Amino acid sequence: MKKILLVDDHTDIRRLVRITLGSTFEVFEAEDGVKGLRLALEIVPDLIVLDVMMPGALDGLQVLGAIRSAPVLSNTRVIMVTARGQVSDYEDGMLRGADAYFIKPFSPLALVAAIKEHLGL
Amino acid sequence: MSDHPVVSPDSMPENGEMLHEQLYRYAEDLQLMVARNRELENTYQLLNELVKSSNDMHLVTDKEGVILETNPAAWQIAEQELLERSNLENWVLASHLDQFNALLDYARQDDAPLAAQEGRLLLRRRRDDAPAMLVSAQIVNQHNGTDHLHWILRELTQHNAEYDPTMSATLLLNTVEGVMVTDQNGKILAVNPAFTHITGYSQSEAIGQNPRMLNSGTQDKQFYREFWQSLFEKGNWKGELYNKRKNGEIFLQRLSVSAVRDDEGKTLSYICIFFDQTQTEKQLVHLAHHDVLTGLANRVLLGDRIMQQLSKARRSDGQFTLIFIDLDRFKQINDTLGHAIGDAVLCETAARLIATVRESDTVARLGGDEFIILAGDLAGDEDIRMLCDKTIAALSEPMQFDEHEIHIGSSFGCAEYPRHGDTEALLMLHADQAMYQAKSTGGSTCVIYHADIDLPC
Repeated sequence: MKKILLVDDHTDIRRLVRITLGSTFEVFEAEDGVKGLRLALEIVPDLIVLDVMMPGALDGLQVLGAIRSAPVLSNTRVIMVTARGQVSDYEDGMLRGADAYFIKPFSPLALVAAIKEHLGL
Repeated sequence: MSDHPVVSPDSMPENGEMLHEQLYRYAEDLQLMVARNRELENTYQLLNELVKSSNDMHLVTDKEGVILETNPAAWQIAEQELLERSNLENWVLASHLDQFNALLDYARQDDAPLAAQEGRLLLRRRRDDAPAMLVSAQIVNQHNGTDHLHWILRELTQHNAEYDPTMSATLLLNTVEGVMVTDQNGKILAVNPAFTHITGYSQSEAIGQNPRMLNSGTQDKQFYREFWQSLFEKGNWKGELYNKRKNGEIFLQRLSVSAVRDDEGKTLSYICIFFDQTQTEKQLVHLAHHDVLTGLANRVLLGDRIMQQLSKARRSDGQFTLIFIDLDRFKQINDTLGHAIGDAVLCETAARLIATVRESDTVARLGGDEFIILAGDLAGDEDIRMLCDKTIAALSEPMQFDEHEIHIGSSFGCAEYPRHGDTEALLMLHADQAMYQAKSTGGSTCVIYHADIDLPC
């Protein structure tokens, strides 16, 4: 079963995405950037859904940078999620090696489709 | 990147608002999924209907070949209750088990392509009297996590043995034998008018049916077993059997069935030719005693009737009269207006004679334009003349054929038993002589035999 890590400070959003993904994935959650990166290095997920705007020491873009420089996570795909209008986030994210980029509010069907596509399912 | 939707930062929603927005997207997607689901359901139902009404046999089996689901077309193998939960292998004849197992092994592979694998199978069927069925078998591994195999079986004969009505229509129309063409399963493809005449089933009633509708139940299972064995091994069967007409009447049928096979020896259709034996006997008896053209008694039947009258009259001192009739100038009609008109005149004459005499009297045609009335109990010049005058009058009424109005005269010669003779030969001779005299006087008259006729005149 493929592992997916959700990193988002909004509990409700994490819960919604978890429900959307259903039981076909093993889903992990983290509520900020630091916890997210630590968990990622520990479990080595196949894909991370990463929010850009998060409180704490690391925001999403910084976490993305750390993931891309960690050899153990070289096969991990990253889908960035950000609030509407943060066009600079999008550009930064893609430049730093995000695999896809979603703007909130996102279509859950589109998100699932993107996840499956990047996991080769 | 540059064409990605961009909204100015000041429109960025608050967190709570953002959650609401996200929930609305969920609701929208939910609607989308409900709509898609409805479409899928419609498609599923449509496919289901298609499979149900398909002429092809659809079966779903597990990977061992155990049948789980069937469509109605598959029930020609056996009833649904028998078929489902049985192994498809049990319906495959030994000759084709290798083919069956090859198909099954192929489809069982996990990496077998979705495209159908095809082969040929020979299937036995539930009913003992039903012939085996050659089918093309397609097998599809659905790869949908259910481990189910989808089989599509199509009868190979049905499409090859379509009856071409132009092919032999004329031949079929004009034979006295009943002819029936069936496909390999016995489904009737064509029948001829004689079939309808003999069985009572019209063409539309028969086509698409199974000849079993004629089964009288008289023959036992063993009979049909041998019947099919002969068809399989020799390609034909000949013999007699009792069948049943539409009206329930059982009749003896002389039947010859031949299998029509293609180059590979595969049966395409059966041709059944049969005579109605009971009918044939009746027809022969009728033919032997009647004139073909007019349907009147012929010389043979007349002879029998005269013998009957003679013995009856001898026993009871009775009488009867023999009346010879010859049409005047008939040859002229034949020569000038043709044989068709001539034949019509003869038939009309026969009808008028029959209408004039009593039912117990016999009217016969000896050939040409010679007719004879055998009138039982008729005696005495007065009575004889009365009958003859009535008959001459009836015949002299004009006959209308197309544009021709024909006036026909007739000469009558009568001889009465025992007054003018006490044997058949004598009576015939004397009636003939009397008739000849009537003719020589100009026709349209009647002469009763008298001794003077013997003298040359």
